[in-house]
Amino acid sequence: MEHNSGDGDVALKLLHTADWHLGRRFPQFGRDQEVLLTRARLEVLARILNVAASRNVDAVLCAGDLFDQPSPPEEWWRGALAEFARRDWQRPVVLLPGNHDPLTATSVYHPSHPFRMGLPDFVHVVDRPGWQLPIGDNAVVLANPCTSHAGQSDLAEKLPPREPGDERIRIGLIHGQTFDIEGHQTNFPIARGIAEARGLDYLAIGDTHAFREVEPEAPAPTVYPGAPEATNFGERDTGKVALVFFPLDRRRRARVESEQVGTWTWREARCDSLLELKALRAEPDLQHTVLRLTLDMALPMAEYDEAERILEELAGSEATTPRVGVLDVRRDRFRLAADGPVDLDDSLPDVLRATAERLRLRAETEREMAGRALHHLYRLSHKLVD
Amino acid sequence: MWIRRLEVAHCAGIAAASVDLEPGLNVLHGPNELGKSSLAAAIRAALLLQSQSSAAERLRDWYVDALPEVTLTFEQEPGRNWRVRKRFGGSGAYAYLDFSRDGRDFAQDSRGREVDGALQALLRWGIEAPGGRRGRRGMPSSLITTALLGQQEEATAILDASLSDDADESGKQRLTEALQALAEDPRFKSVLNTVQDKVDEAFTATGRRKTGRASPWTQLREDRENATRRKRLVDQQLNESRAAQEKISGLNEELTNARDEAERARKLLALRRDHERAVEALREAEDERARVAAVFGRVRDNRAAVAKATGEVEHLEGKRKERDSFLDDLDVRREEAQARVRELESGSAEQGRRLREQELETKRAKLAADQDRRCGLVDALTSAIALHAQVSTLEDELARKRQGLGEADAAIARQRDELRDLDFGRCVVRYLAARTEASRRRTALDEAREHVAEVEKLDRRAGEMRAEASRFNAPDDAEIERLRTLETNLRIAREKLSVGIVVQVALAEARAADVETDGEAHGRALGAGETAEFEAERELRLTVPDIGSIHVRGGGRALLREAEDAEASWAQASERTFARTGCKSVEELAKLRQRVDNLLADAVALESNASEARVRTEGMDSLERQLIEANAETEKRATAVRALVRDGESFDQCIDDRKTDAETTTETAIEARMGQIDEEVRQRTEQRNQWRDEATRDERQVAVTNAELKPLRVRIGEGSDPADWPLQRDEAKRSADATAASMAETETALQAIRQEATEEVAKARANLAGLERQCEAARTELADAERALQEARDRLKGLEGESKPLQEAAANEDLDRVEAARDEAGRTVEALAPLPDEARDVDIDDLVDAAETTAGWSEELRSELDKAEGALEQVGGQYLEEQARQVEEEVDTLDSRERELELDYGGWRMLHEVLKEAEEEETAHLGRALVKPVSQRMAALTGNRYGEVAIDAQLNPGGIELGGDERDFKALSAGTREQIALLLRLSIAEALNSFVILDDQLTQSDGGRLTWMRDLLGQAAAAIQIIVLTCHPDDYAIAGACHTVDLAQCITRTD
Repeated sequence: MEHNSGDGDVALKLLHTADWHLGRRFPQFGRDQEVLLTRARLEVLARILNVAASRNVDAVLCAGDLFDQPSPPEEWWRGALAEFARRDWQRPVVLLPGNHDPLTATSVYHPSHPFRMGLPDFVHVVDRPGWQLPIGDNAVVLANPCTSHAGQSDLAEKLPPREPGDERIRIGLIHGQTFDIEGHQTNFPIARGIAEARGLDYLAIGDTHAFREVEPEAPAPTVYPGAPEATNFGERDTGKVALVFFPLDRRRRARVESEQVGTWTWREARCDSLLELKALRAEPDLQHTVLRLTLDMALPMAEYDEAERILEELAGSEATTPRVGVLDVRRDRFRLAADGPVDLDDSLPDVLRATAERLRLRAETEREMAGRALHHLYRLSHKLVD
Repeated sequence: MWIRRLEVAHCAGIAAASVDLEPGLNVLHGPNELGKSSLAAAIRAALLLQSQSSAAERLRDWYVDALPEVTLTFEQEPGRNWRVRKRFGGSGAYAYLDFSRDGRDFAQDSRGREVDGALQALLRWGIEAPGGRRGRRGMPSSLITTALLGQQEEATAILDASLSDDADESGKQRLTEALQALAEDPRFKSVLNTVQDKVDEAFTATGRRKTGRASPWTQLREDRENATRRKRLVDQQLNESRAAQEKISGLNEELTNARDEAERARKLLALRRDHERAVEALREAEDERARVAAVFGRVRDNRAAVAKATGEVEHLEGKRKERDSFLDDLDVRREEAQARVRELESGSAEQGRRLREQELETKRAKLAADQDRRCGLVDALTSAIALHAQVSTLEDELARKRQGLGEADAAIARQRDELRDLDFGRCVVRYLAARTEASRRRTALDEAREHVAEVEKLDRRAGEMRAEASRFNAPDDAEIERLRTLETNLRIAREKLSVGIVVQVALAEARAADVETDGEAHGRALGAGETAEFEAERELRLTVPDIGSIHVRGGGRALLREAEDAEASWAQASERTFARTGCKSVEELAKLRQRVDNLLADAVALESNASEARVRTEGMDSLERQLIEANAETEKRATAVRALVRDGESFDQCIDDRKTDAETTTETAIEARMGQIDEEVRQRTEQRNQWRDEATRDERQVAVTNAELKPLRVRIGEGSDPADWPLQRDEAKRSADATAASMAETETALQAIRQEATEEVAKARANLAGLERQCEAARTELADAERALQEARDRLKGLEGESKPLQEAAANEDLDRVEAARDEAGRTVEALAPLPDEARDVDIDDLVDAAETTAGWSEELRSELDKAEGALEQVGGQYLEEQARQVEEEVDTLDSRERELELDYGGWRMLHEVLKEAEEEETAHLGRALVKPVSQRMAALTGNRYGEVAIDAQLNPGGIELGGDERDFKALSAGTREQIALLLRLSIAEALNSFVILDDQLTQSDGGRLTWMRDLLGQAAAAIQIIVLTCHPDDYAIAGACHTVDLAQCITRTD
């Protein structure tokens, strides 16, 4: 990321982030892995605030869905509080309730909630419609919060228009969906051209998890910074925050840069052969990868066992460190080719060989179960020989 | 299992014998006829033969009158020693089986017939227990007894034995167990154990999934249940959300349609109104033009009538002058005729007659004038009466229609009032319905909240019960059962000590003694030299001060130790439990356990009730939302009612006043009534408009008729009452009739006078009369002409009287203007857009209704849309979709995990199942387990001359491989056969871990094989006890490695 070298002609600098989804659960993975991914959302918060400090921004705008639900478990809002408490800041941090964490009587943003009560003075919560916060003498943040999980009103449209003679930098802060997401049902819709219509110099929005500038040619940028850590497979351009530079020359458009803060990669891979699986094992740096691995192969016993050992190596065990951060193996089409002979050592008791033969016969009608039993036998037999 | 000691008395030539044996190789030697085989027989009898059996006769020593007795002591396994004591034959027979842990102190376990049953149960040699079905006589035998207790004369009997000949399955079962263990490869065992451990992780002994904490299914099941529960909840919310979204979508579409429809209805109405206004304007313009044209027409008609009347007057005046002139000529001629008559009648009578005739003629002329005048009046009155009747009829009709119009307006007003009242009622009905619905929702919500409270209460109560159960620290059933067993053991141990004690004490001097018998203390004086006797069941303690004390306990040391052990075990096990629970007996513990179980059962029942109640609390969020919606609906309906409340009337009063009516009707009924009234109003309005048009036409007709009546009134007399006109007409008719009668009388009188003239006179007179008739006719004609002239003048005057107001009215009218206005209205109509059929063919009120209905529909849909959007905000929309996707993925993952777990543990279970099948197949053939050891030893014995021994599944040896062929044992030498038999017996004994008795087995073997066999026995003796009965001890004895017994030192023969 090339840092801006011309800060001297900048009137105002902002860090714009959204969609932290603190406390989000990932029940599709194992418990340990779920905790790993949930904690990743808290860890990225620290990196976001570090970027804000290192780039010396004037304010941090957080455009909603900071928590995955209105009342997340205590661990996560306490974690967020601890991150804020570590900063001795004057620069304002603005938290906007989104559709995942709307402003309700039981949400973390309610004045009676310990999270809200524990926030340091520099953290502000958008807790009413028509909320405004001046930043210095020449800028103002205008925001409307979500008060429910779903809504059909355009919160940006409700922002006050620019009054005649108001020359300040006007920044809108809204959570919702622009109309240009094809095939997507809009929730809290944001109309095209609304930033210009409301006299805004920048519209900071949240909801979509990909970094995206809506209407790049519009005079006032409207930007989704995306989720700082991805939340699912298929999400692109995640792991970023937006840095916004407002030039002193008010005739010029605000400049927007993205900066990487996320560390996790969500990836879907498919292996149709043992060779491909070995190649995957050879890949470095899978520690921060959430890997959904689909296996589609039928292998003879020895290769099948090798594939199982590779999977164990990738997933790790109590004794070994996992090669992959979070591994989700889809093995519906991964099977043992049980129609071939099962090679057991000649020194093994006849009864074990007889067992293998019996299982091989049963595999003709109970392929998967008998194949698994054969593999168990194969493993145990090898331990005996070893 | 090994034999410790054998004691024999009066048995098969042995008066008494006592032999102590050791584990390992025991070589019992002695000369022939000493009784070695009798000892072997005694062992068989002790273990196999019932004391009452007749087969025991073979043991009897015929030289001694005593029953044979055998006492055999053996150790089944370390710590389990048994002693069999039997006396065989007749009434003196007995049998005891004693037990000992240490092999020294025995306690009786059973006696009599029970002994043999107990022995067979513990030996499991395939011997039928006493009372068995087969009931074979003689010494019982089986394959195992043949192997372990083989008789001297049957050294190779094992080669002919078979498990199928056993009387009982116990031998086969024991051999199966033993040989399976023998056949089991330790590596196989290791695999099987590992697989068993894996299966045990997941499945119970009966093959069901384990449900405990450590079960791999448990966490998965809990996760699955939680996920399913979450999924159910999210799906429910999602359905609501989707329903709300669909509703919004549908409402949006409906709203668009409704707005289009409303706009279309509004436009149709406006178009229809424009058309109607233009057509009405055109019709009014045409009416106006017709009216003005009529005015001018009447003026024209009047002018024509005046001109016509003037011409008629002039014509009649000319005619009258002509008649007047003609009359004047006639009068001249008449006067000449009169002069001729007067000339002829110069007498006075003639003069008198002429005078009367002249008077009569004068009278007749006067009457004729009166007659004309009266007839004209009658005609005028007749016309006036007819016109007046026509006006009256029209005015009556007009009044009736005006009254009808008023009544129609009043009825319409009343019906509109009723419509307003019905609308009010409908609002009240809707409000009450909404209020009732809200109340019902509130009740449902309250019930749901009560269920929540009930759930909490039940959970709390169940928790309290569990806590209370936990506080009791009650032992589980197993612990209670263990304590009960220990208590029973203690009681039995104590009972065993109750053998009965009698102590006799004699003191040299008298003393007082303290006595404690079985725990009861009492004092007793002992006299000098007197023998005092004390009795107790199990314990007696006697203390004599200054002398000492005696403590006597029954049962012997072993039983005492057993009782002490039982006491210690009981104390150790019970003290902590009693201290923990506060109970003092096992029964109290059992009661406590029962109480705790009852509490836990109650808790489970409460938790079950709580679960059921919890199910009833589901959907409370939905109920709350429904209540909010119902309240909003109620408020909306209340607002509608308030808008209709009259000034000075309160809302509540209004509702109360109308509540009764509202409760007895429905919104549908009200709307039906409103529709009915609307239809009636529409019909009345149509009728009223028709009446109004007819009344206007009647008013115009009355005006025209009154104008015609006006000149007649002038002629009749302005002030006369039309009601008097019929009377006046009748009077005028009567007068005219009277005048006509007078004229007839005058004419008759005149004719009579004229008859009196003479012929000449009569001729003159006839001439005169003719002239006078002509004069009269001329006068009549003149009178007629004058009357006609007068009538024409009257008509002219009437017409001239009418012409002025008509001209004045025409002067105020502008026909060109009204025609131009009509033309303009016509152009306006033509310029309008054509009216569509649906606007043309329906009543305009229907169009108004349609416009109002569609507009109201749009408003209602907008309201519903607002509510639906509000509902969607409550239920979640896209957020829920995300939640649903997340929980769906979770369920899929858990399903996948469960499938993987099922596959993995199913694989372990299948592997276990197949391993066991393979193992059973391998070991079901019992012979295979023995083939290897016997064959290997035989090969070693014979320098690999012989190959594998064939032993079938029933352990019946068939032959042995020699040079690639199987040889029948019978084809072998006796020595080889006895060697194979010994090897087979030895292998069976090893498998059973049992002693084996070899009674002079190797009599046919050569030295080399004998030595090999001795060494083999030495090796085998490391594991089992081998008892060799021989008269050649050197053949078997291994220095330092065997226990050698010289039976000559142990046996006392009878003879």
